[in-house]
Amino acid sequence: MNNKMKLATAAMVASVGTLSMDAEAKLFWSEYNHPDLEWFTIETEHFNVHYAVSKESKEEGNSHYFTTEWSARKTAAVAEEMWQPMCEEFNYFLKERVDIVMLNHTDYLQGFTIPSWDIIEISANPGGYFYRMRGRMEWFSDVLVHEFAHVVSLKANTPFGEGTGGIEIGGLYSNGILNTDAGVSFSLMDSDPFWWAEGGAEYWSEETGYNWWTAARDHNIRMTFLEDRQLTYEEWVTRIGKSGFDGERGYQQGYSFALYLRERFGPQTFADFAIESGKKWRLNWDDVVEEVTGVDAETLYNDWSAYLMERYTALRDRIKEEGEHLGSEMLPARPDWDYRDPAGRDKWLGKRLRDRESAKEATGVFNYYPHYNEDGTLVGSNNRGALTISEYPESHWYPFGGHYSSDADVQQTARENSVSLPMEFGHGWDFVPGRRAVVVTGNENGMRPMWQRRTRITTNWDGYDWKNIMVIDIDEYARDEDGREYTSFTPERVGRTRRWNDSAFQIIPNTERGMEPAASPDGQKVAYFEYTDGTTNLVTINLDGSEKKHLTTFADGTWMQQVDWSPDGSQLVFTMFRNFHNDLWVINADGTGLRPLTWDGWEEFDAHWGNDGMIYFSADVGQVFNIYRMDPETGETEKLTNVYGGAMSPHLTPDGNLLYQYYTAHGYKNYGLHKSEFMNQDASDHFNTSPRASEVEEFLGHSEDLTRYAEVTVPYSPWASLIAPSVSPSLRFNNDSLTNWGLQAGATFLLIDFAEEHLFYGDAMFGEDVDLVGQYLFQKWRPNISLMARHIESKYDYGIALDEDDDPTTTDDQTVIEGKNYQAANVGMIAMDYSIGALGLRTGLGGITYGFKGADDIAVNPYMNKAYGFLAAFYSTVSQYYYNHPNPRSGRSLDFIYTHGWTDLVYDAYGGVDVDDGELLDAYNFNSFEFTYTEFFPVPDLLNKWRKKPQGDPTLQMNLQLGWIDRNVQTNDEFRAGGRHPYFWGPGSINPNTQFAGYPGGALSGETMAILNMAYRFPIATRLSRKMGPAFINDIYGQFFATAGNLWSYRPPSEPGSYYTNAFDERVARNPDDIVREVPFVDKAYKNAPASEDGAAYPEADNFTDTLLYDAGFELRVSAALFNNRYWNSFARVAYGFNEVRGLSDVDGDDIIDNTSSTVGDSLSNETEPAGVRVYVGIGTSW
Amino acid sequence: MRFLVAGVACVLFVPSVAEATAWQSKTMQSPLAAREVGRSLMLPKGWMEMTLSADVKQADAYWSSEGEAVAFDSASWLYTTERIGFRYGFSPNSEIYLSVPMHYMSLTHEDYGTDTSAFHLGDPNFGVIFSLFEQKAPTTSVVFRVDLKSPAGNESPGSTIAGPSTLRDFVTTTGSHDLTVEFGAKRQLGSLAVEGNFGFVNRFSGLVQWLVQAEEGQGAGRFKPGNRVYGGLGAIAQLGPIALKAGGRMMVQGDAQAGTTSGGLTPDGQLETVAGSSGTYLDVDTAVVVHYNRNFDLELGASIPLMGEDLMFFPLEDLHPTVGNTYTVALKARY
Repeated sequence: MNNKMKLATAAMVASVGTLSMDAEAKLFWSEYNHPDLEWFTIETEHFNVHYAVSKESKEEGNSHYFTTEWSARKTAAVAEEMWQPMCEEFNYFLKERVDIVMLNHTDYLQGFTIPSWDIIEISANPGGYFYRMRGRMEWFSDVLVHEFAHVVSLKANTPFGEGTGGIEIGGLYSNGILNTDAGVSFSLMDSDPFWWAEGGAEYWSEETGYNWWTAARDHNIRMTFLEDRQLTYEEWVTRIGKSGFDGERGYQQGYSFALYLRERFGPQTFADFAIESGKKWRLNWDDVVEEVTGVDAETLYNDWSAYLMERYTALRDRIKEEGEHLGSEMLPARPDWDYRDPAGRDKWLGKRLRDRESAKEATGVFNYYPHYNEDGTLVGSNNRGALTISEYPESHWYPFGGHYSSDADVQQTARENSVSLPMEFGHGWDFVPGRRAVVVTGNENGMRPMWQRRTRITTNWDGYDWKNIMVIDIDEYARDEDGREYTSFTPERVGRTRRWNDSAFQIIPNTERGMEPAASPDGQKVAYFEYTDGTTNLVTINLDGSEKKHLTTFADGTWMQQVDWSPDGSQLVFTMFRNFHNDLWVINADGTGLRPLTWDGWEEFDAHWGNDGMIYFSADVGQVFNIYRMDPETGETEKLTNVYGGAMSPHLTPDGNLLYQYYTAHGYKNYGLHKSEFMNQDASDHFNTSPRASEVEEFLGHSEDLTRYAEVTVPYSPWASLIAPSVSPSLRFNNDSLTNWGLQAGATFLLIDFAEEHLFYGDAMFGEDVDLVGQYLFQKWRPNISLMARHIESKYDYGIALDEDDDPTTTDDQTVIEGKNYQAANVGMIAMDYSIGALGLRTGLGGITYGFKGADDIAVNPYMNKAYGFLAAFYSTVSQYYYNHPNPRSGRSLDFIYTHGWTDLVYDAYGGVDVDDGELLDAYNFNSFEFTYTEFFPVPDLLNKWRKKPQGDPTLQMNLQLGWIDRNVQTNDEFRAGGRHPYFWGPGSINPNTQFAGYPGGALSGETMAILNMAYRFPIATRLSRKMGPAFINDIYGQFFATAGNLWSYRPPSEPGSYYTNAFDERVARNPDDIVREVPFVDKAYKNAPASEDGAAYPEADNFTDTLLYDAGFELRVSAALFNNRYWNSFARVAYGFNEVRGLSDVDGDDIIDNTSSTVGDSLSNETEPAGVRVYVGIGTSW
Repeated sequence: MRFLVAGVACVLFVPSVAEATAWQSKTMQSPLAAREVGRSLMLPKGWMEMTLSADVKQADAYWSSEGEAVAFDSASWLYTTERIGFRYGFSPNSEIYLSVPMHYMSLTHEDYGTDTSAFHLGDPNFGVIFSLFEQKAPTTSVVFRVDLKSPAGNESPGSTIAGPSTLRDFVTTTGSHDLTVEFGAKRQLGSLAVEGNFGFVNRFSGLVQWLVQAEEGQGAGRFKPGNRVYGGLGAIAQLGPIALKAGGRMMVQGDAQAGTTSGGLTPDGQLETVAGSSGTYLDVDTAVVVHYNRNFDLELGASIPLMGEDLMFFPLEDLHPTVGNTYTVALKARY
C-alpha cells in the first residue's frame, strides 16, 4: 500500500470519529426525556392533539404531578373551530391532519410550527408576561390560531414540495499546488420574509375572528415610528441579527402593514401573496408583492410608513396639546440623549443610529413592576429576569424633584447601594413589609448549589424546573461564605465583590408553579397565582408555607395577573382574563365576595392598592395605556398620566408620587411622575364599575363542556404519530484531485414521532463516492440510546513518482504513473448520552472495518479492523447561538475523550502486519486521551478608540488541544492536525478551523499532541443590515490568529544493526524496546519536520529541524442570511506556516506521491511542504 | 425470483405504513393523472415515487463489427439490473430524481470451463426535469432533462490481464461521468398517447481501474467513452387500468478514447481514439402497465434489439450491449 492510501485511510477514520462523537440530545421540542409521563392523543376531524399526564399521582408522592387534559381538550375545540375559516383565507383546505403537541412539563412559553412536518407545538402554560406584549390573554386561541395560520399560509406559499423544503447545493475545490481550498454552499429554498410570515399570522388570526389590533400592539408600532426605531425595508425581511424589541417589532410591523394593505387593496391581499408565491420560485420573494398589488414592495413600505407617521404624529400632537403628563425616566445620571449643549448634541448625534439605539436600550429593555418599599428606603424593578434593588431615597430622583448625579457619583452610588437578585423574567414581585426582604417568582432550581451555578452543570435529574415563590432576605448578602457574587449595599465595602449566601434564599414550601407574589401588609402572608393545566387561581399562604388557601378554583383557562392587598389586608385586587373579558376584580382575603371592580371593554391590569386606599391601574382608554386612580368605594376614577407611549404597572411611593412602567421604542422603562404633575382628570365615565349582578353571576357560572373529547382520546402510539418524512436533497461537487471532479447526490432523511420517543436519521449520498449513514435514537429513558451504522466507498486518482536509482537529485530516470484507489469502510456504534446542563456525557462501543480493492481484487481486502469503547464528556457554556455567531464573546468549552481501542492490521499484501515508527504492528490495544479547551475572553477595545463610530467589542479566543496515546500505534490511530475547511469539517467556532491553518490538511501526526491556537477577533462593520439580492449582510469581523505546537511520535532506532529495512523501504526495529517515545517540547518531532541538510544520518535528534511548529494568519468573517431564513456565513482566511513540514503521503499537494526512497528510511513520504501561504475561502460554508 | 419476493414484501409493507399520519397525502400535491396515458413526463409537485425494478437479459450473441448478430460459441451471459429509484415533484415545474442500480451478472464459458458471477453496485444517476410546457386533459407535456451519471460501480476486473477467459470479476462502470441533456414530449389523444425524446450524452474521461496503461508502468489508464446521441418514439394505449406501451429507440455512439492524463484543465489531451468503438443501436420496447391504484403501478416490459455493432468492450454492457432480449418488472409506489 502506498502512502497516499495511508493518508486517505486516516482521513476516513478521522471522519468516522467525528461522527461518532456527535453528542445527541433531544433534537427538537423537549429539552429532557420524560419517562415519568404517559401520552394520550385526542383525534378530531382535522387534528391530533397529543398531551401528557404524569404516571404517578400527587397522592403517590409525585411532587411534579400534572395533567394536560383540559388544555388539550380546549385546544382540540379551538383547533376544529378555526380550521374552516383559516383554510378559507387561502382557499387552501388541508387534506392532511395536523398534529398538535401540548407541552406542560415546563413553565415556559413556547409555540412553533414546522408546517411541512404537520406539527404545531404549544405550551399549555403561557408564562407570565405574554399579555403585556400582545395585550390579551386568550392563550389557546391566540397561539393556536397564530401557529395554524403559519401552517396554512406557509404551505400555500411554498413553491416546493413539502417533503424537501429545498435543495442543498455545494462544493469544495482544493488545489494542493496553489495551497487553496475554496468552497461554496447554499440552499435553494423558500424565501418568505419575516414581516410577511409573522405579520401575516397575526393578521389572518384577526381575519378569522381570533385576534385584534390591541392597544399594546398599537403602542409598539406607535413608538417605533415616533422614535424612528422601525425595522427598515432591508431589515424586516429576516429575523437574523435582531435584538431587543426588534423581534416583536417585526411581528407587529408586519401585522400593521397587512392592515394597511387591507385598507388599500382589500382583505385578501396578504393571502394572495402566498398563493402567488406558491406558483413558482422567485429569487426575491418581494416580487410577489408587486405582482399582486401592482406596486413594488419598497414603495408600499414607504407609503405605509408615511401613513402611520401622519396618524401617530397627529395623536402625539393632540396629547401634547392636551398637556403631556409623563414625568421622566428614573435614571440617576442625565442620559446622553438629554443633552443640554452643542457639545452634548454633537457627541450624541456623532454615534451611529444603531449605537444610539443601543445606548437607550442599555437602561433596560424589560423593566417590569417598579416598587418602593413602605418606608421609602428601597426601590426595585424586575429587569430582564433580575430584580435590581437600590437604596436610593425618593427625593434623590430627578423625576421626584432631585438632581442628576455626575457619572462618577452614579458609578459610586450604583456600587454601594444596589443589588441584583435572580428571579423569573417578566414576573411580579413585592417587598415584604417590616423586613428588608422581597418575595419573587423564582424557580425550583434557581438557587442551585454554588458549584452548579458557576459551572452551569445542573443536576436536574427529573427534568423539572417549575416556578415557585421565593423569599429573599436582602440583608443576608454580607456573609463571606461561598455564594453568588453581588455588589453590596455596605458603604465601607465599596467596589468589593461580595458573595451571596444561599441561606438568604428560601423557597416557600407548597408554592409549586406559583407566580406574581404580593406580600400582605402585615408581612405574614403572600398572595400569588398558582398554575394548573392552562389555568391560574389565586392562592394565599403563610411565608413558612403553612395555611395554603385557594381563593378561587377555576379549571377553565381563566388567567390572572398582578394581585395586590388592600392596606388593611382584608381584600385583594387583581386582573382576571376569562372568556374574552379583561377586568379588575376584588375578593375578600378569606375567599368570599369575588366581584368585578370594572366591567367594560377596556383592558385593565397592573392593579396596585395604594396606602391611600385608592386603586391605581393601567387601562387602554382611547387605545393608549394610561394610569388611573379609582376609589374602590365610589368608583370615582381620575386619569393621572397623559402619554402617547404606554403607561403601565403603577406604584404609589410613600411620598405619594407615581412610579410606573413606560413603553418606549427602546423598551419598557421605569418612569417617575411627581404628584404635583398628576393630570387628575375625571375619568369615571370611562369605566363601568356597577355591572348587573345577574350578568356577573352568569359570567362566573359559564362553563364550556369539553367532555365530548373523552370519546376520541386514545393512548399515544408512536408508530401512528410520525412527522411527515423530511427529506433534504443535496448535491455536492468536490474535486478528488486536480484532474477529477467527484459529483454526489443524495438526501438526508428524518423521521421522528411527536412525543420524541424515537428518531431515525439517514443520510445517503451516491456518486463516485458512496456514503450511507443510518442512525436511530431511543429517547424514552433519561439517557438517550443511539445506534449508528455507516458504509463508505471512496475512489480517487493519484500519481506515483518512480525513481529508478532512488536518487532524487537525478531526474532523468523519474517517471509518474497513474493510479486509482478504491477503499471501503463499515462503521457501527452504540452509544448512550446524558446531559447535565452544560455537561454532556457519552459512552459507547464501536467498530470499524476498513479495506482496499485493487484492479486485480474481486473483493475488498481488509486492511484493518478496529473495536473501541469510549467515555466522553463535553462541557460548554457557549450557547448554540454562538455556533453561527461571527464573534462568540464569552464562555468556554472543554471536551474530554477517553478511548480504549483494539486494532488488528490484517492486510494480506503486508502479511497481516504494518510498520509504523519502526515497529512491526499486528494486533494491539491502546488507550487514547484527548482534551480540548476553548475559552472566549471579552477584551478591551483597541481599535474602537480610533474609530469615529465604534462598531462593537473584540474577543480573544484561546484553543488548546492536548492528546496522549499510551503506546506506539498505527497511523490511523494517531492524532492528526493541519488546515481544515469547514465545508467538510463543520463550522469552527468552538474548535477553530484556524488551528494550524498554515499547514496541509491532516499532514501532521503523532501519539502526543499539544497545540495552542490564539485569535484576536474584532468588528470591522457591524449591524450593517444590507440586503444584496437574496442575501442579507449583517456583520463583518476580522481576526488575527496564530498557532504553536506540534505532534510528537515514537522514533525508530538509528543505531546500525538495531533495525532492518523491509521491502517497502521502511526501517523495522529488531528490538521494539529500541523505539523511543519523543518527549514533547524537548524532542524535535521527526515525522512532521524535514531532515536538516545533513539529515542523511537519520534519525539523530538534531537532524530534524523543529521542536515546535508555528503559523499565523488573518481571517475575514461575514455573517449573513440567504433567502431571509438561512444563515449564510462566509469567510476568507490566509495563513502562513513558518516551518517546512513533511508528513504522510502527498504533503506537497500535487496529487503525485513521491515514492522514491526516503532519505530518512522511514515509512513517510519523501515530500515536504515548504513554509508558505495557504488560502481558504468559504461562501456560505460558515467559518 | 428474489426480486419478486422483494416486491411482494414492499406491497405488504406500505399499506401498514399508510396508517401513520406521516404518509398521508398532502394538499400541496399537484394533480396526478390516474392513468399512464394522461400522465405528464414530469412527476407533479409534491409526489414522491419509488421504483423497484429488475431487468433480466440472457444474451446468447454479440454484434459483429458489420452489425450482424453472431452467436456466442460457448458463452452464456446473464446480465441483470436491480434498481431502486426515487422521483420527487420538487416544484410546479420541476422534478428531481435519483436512481441507483445494482447488477447481478453471470458468465459461463464452456470452452474455457469458467463460471463466473458477481453482484455489484452500478452507476447511479441523478438529475432534474424541467417542464417547458404543460397542458391537462388531454395532456400535453414538453420537458427538458439534465442528468448526471457518476461512476460508483465496480471498476476491478479481478485481473490485470484483459479478456473473458481471465476475468475473475465484472466491471459495472465506465469509471467516468456522463452529462445528458434531453428533450421529451408527450401528447394525449383520448385513450392514446404518443411520446418521444431526443438527447445528447457528453461522456467525460476518467481514470479507471479496469484499464491498464501497459506502456507506462502498469498504471491505471484514462478512458473516455464515446459521446452519444439518441432518440425514441413510442405510443401508449390505455385500456381501463391497463396501459400498453410500444416504441423504438435509436442510439448513435462515437468512438471511445484511451490513454494517460494530461495536465491542465483538460485531462484528455493525451487520449487516443480506439478504432472501431463507435456504432449505432436500435431497439424496440414494449410494456404493459397495470394500475393498482394511483399509488401503485406494476410494469412488465420487454426490449428487443434490432440493430447494433461491436463496440469492443464486452462484458461491460454500458459500452458493449450484447444481443438478447431484456425483460423488465417494475413496481412503482408513490404518495
